[in-house]
Amino acid sequence: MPDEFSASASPSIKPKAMPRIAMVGNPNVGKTSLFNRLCGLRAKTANFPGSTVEAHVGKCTIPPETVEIIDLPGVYAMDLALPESKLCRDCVGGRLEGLEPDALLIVVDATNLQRGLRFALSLAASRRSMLIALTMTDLANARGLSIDAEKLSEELGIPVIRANGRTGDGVDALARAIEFARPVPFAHLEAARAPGWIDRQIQGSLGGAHSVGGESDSLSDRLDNAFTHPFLGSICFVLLMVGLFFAIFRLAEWPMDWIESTFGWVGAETAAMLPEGILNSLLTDGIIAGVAGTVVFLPQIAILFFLLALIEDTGYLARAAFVMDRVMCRFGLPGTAFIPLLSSHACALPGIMSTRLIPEPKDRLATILVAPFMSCSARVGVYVLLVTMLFPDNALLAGLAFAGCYALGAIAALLTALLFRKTILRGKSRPMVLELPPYRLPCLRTAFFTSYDRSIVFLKNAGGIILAICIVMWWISAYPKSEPPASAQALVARAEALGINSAESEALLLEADLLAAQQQQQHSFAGHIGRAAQPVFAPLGLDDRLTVAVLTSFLAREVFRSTVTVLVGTSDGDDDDRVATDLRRATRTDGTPLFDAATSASLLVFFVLAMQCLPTLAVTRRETGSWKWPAVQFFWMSGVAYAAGCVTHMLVTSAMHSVGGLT
Amino acid sequence: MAAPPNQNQGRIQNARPLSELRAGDRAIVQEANLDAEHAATLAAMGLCASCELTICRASGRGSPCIVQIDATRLGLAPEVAQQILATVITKPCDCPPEGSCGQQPR
Repeated sequence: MPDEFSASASPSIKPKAMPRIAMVGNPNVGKTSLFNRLCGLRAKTANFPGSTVEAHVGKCTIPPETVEIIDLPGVYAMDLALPESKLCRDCVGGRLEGLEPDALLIVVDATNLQRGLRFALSLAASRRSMLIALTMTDLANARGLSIDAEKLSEELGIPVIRANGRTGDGVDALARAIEFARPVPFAHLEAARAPGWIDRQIQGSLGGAHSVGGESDSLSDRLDNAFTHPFLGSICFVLLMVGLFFAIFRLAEWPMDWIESTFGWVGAETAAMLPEGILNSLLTDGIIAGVAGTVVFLPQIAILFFLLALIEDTGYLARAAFVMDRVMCRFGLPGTAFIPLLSSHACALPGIMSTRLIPEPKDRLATILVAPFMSCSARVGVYVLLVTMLFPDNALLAGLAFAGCYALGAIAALLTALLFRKTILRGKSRPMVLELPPYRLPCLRTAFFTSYDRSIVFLKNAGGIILAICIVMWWISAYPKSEPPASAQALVARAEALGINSAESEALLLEADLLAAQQQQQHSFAGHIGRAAQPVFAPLGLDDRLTVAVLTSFLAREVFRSTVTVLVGTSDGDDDDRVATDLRRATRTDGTPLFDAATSASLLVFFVLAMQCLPTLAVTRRETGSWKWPAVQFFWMSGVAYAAGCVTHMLVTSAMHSVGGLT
Repeated sequence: MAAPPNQNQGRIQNARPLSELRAGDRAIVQEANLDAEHAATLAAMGLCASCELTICRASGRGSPCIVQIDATRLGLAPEVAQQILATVITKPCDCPPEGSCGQQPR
């Protein structure tokens, strides 16, 4: 009966409302797979007070009772000066309020017993009840290792169970053994502390230390040589990332469209169902529109994390980190920062959330702070509009300007990282040392749970702080209410005279709505703020309408397009050519074009560099555990954008004067 | 992270940085000139004084040195490999793969 603990007849964990088990182990030992097997979807990500390191808390039913399981982050040792080790120390030591574990489930890689047993013995001193799960038994079997778990259990005096989180083998036996967890008896502990004990156990249980994967693996060697090769490794990495990037955009397209249309339908139905007034406006324009603007990114997040988990599970990601480390370290960033920065091209939210791949806190913080510089998909609409204004009849220059926006964002991110690492995040980036996990087929189940977990975290965020911010922004745009101007009322009267079903009357009503919206925007709190702030934005060439559009776009940059079409008086917001034509014709009070070349260029540069995404700030706050870093991010990026916009306006204006005008 | 001084005096004199070792070399780690925190992390990962390792991939210009210690495979940036001194105990032989010297062919 090797997988059933029978050293004692009676359970050792005292019955209580819900026993709590803490899972601890080295990284890459299959701990998360085991946790997912035990808890399934009944798990959530938990941030503990005073720590930005995450753990997962789940429930596992072992009839007749339910056990709470805390999946602590993987650590190589409990006494290291790393946030993960501190969290594990605090949890095992009972210093996390209300989260003191009743027992420890120590996860040990069966192919690396030397390190795993050393780690387990370091925990035995805590005198907590414990049991050991031996994972990676499939790999151990493939290497011809026959592990005598029962003998090991007798030597340690605690249950030792073989369990495979990927296949589910032994997981039930492990769950049943939890109640038999107990502290390692003193006599066993004393014996285990004797020099050479671990070697003797390995010898006895497995037939020699060198049988435990001691020989080098030629296939792994060949793959490692290819994947970490400066040239070949770079090509592999670039190809994989292009595939990843393409998949995120392509696969997310349909669900994103679906979410947008569903929220649009819900908004329209709600607006039709409720009487006109404050509640209607709050629900449709504030809550539904605000949440829709954030939830629309959910498919990108789910797909990114699913694919990243698959890639990570193969063991490739650790190799790729070395390839990119050569480039990134010149800017004070680790190789592992490349994936979050690349992901930020789709959306900064998953990019920032994926910085959890980066082990060093300062490296991770620097990556979070610069990730929003990368041009995300939400910027594309603004880029298209402004590039079209700049180069209406030159596709080549328009294409170059578009590519230049992406390059400018990436350069700004790398230079900012370099600056931050030399100032506020001072400290030499530690040269990379990574464990290279064995190559293996990825586990779809683990990838699904990772993706599900990240998606839930994101949705909770959208339902909390982002929703609150959306309501505030709605309020300053919607209040105080102003009456439609006389011209709008006249249009409505004309439309009524024509009859409700004629096409002409519909056009008149549409124009009347537009005038009313313009009036509302201009007289709302946001409009007043815009006019007050106009002198600040004058060096970028903005008048008061463009200032309001820029200020409201701090909610989300894609709002710029809709605001500017309302303020300038373009009627069809979905038709790109019509919008561009109308905006090109728009003039300032002095009759000069509103979108002259200098203003279009300065706005383009401003939008490439500015921090105009409230969900990103909210996620930065969540990931860094403080409002300080979103503030740094906001003021730095907006400051750089403003300065660069002013310089661009100045340069283009002087160039136009010398050439004789471009527009 | 350093071996006891008297015991390994001779070995340390022959020790060379990991960055200079070739793929297939087996070596015993003698010391590492790293800060205490970094050395403690490496030790917890399995790379400590007196441990025996195999070079799986030699350190190249800007590319990592990959070593195997028992079942643990570690990638070390060249700067780290340069700071870890080890004594070679077995070199890969120059025999063709079918050679009968008993050592791991190069």
